[in-house]
Amino acid sequence: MNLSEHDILQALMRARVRLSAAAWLVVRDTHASEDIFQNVALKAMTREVSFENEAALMSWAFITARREGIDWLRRHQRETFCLDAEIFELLEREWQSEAAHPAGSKVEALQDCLAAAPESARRLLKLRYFDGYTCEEVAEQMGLGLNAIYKRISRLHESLKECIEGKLSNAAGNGGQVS
Amino acid sequence: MKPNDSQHELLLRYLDGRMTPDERRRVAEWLRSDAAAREFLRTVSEQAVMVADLERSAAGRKEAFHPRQVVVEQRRKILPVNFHVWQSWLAAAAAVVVLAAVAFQFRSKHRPGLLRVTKVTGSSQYFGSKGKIENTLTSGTSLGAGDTLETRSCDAWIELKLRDGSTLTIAGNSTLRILDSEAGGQRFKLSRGSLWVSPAAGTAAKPLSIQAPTMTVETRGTQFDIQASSAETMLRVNGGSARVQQLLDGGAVEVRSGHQVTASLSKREPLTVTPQPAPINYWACDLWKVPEVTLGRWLPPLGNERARLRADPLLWPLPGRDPLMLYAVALAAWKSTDHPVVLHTDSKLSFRGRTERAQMVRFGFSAQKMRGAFAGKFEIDVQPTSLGSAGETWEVELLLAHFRALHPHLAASPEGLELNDLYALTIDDDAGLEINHVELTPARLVVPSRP
Repeated sequence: MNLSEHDILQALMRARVRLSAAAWLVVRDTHASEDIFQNVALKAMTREVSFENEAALMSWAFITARREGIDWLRRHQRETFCLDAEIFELLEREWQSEAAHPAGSKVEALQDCLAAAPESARRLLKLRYFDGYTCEEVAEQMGLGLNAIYKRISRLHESLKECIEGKLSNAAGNGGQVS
Repeated sequence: MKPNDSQHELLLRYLDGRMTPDERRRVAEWLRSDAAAREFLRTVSEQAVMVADLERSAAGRKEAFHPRQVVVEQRRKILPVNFHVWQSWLAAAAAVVVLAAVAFQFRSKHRPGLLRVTKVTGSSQYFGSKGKIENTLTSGTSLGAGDTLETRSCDAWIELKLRDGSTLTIAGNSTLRILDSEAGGQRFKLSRGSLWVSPAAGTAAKPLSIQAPTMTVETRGTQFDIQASSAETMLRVNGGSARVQQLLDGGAVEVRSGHQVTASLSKREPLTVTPQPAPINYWACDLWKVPEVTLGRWLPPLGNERARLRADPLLWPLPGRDPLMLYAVALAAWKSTDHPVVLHTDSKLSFRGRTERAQMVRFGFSAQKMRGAFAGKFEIDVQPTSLGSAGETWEVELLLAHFRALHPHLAASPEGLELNDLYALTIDDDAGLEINHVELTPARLVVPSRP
């Protein structure tokens, strides 16, 4: 039996961050990746396609997100360097095999982690990922060298990852509540 | 083995394309064979989208609590983002309901629709063919013959996907009605405002007909834009060709790429196709010459100010909340010169005016790709401390590089775009905003050669 509309929606919501992240790896633009996720969700709901199970849905959704991303790059004539298909497939497979957290819990954990981070770290991430500045432009705005920016961003991602994982594992022990 | 700091930096540079082809090949090889390296890419990409989610959410909260700081952009989102624990299940449920509603709308409205709404920003209204009125449109809504769309403010635009994959955009103060299709083609009536059409690449385009107040335009696979008021319509063809018939005398002409034609009731002349004039990068708006004002009302001269335009109220609907009142002055720059006005990030926009009360003023402009499609809006807020004392005339000079792109996915920067409309507004309170001069000055002047 095919997945119901309700099942599709719940599965897409749980995978929202991953699907948007997969799209981001193609377009490197967080606003466009959000649009792409919405398009994927709309396509999944129009019944032009049906899914036997969640794995089939996710497989379709990742491929569609990637295609939408490539199409977006073409339409916007962006010359973003693209990862090759084999790497994408590996990443998508790993995303699909990862245990899903409740919708919103990862973002909530990140919010807590960012609240504890220095203001400069929050500004750096905002400039890079929300405002869409390149690392070079971020370096200029923050009065730092390009190497220092790469170093900071790389450390920030790693420390935030540890912080998020800590909060999510605590939450699992607390019955779902991120503290 | 877990990558170290310098390997993480290498992966970030790889994502940014900051590598030689040889380095890139080696990193790609490493990514294929090392799960830990791929895990870092997944971490970076997930955190990137979550950071953006949080920023959007923070902007939404700021907007709710501080209406004066509201950003006049509305990214219509299908999926709400909510991050509080006690609300997370509620958020998921709400998102499910919203998506389900969109899906239902999509299905139920999927009569043999001509087109689908793909993007909506700003104040808009949708009049259904059966008399239904909706203040806000949602991306995904399917539309059919008889439906009418209105964008009602200088910051508003709607993007539609036609059945053949072409994109049609209306922006500013525009009214578009969908007419019955004919012979597989698509027909629209543009009563006023601005419209852009970009054909889909690589597909068989269907005939497209636009009825404007003074002309009818017929195209197939053509890229073009139309600016229309009740007495004048201008068509510019930027790719392909169009057949144009003037309503006044029935005269018809063929307009090819790089050319334009204007049908004006006041001139009462046969249609004449002309090459699109060369762009200019200096533009000044002499208000006393009565340019096309899309919002605002005239005030009597004061001293050496021969013309003054006062902001008019404009109700700006917000989904799920009380509407916001804006007080705005808006000018159609395209009407005041025959030449396209090209924008550069090092050009400056000057506004001269005054406010009766100290209040933040938002300045903005809309733009399109040079001889191309709609490219979004750009805005900047100027605090009252930078404007001087209330009641006194001020002049602000704003570097275009400092304007923020409201639709960065259309154009992240105004560099090389063509100026369409300009506006200045105050939010929530009527501060008695008046504008009496607007000017665009380039870092380096370009004088167009005579034809």
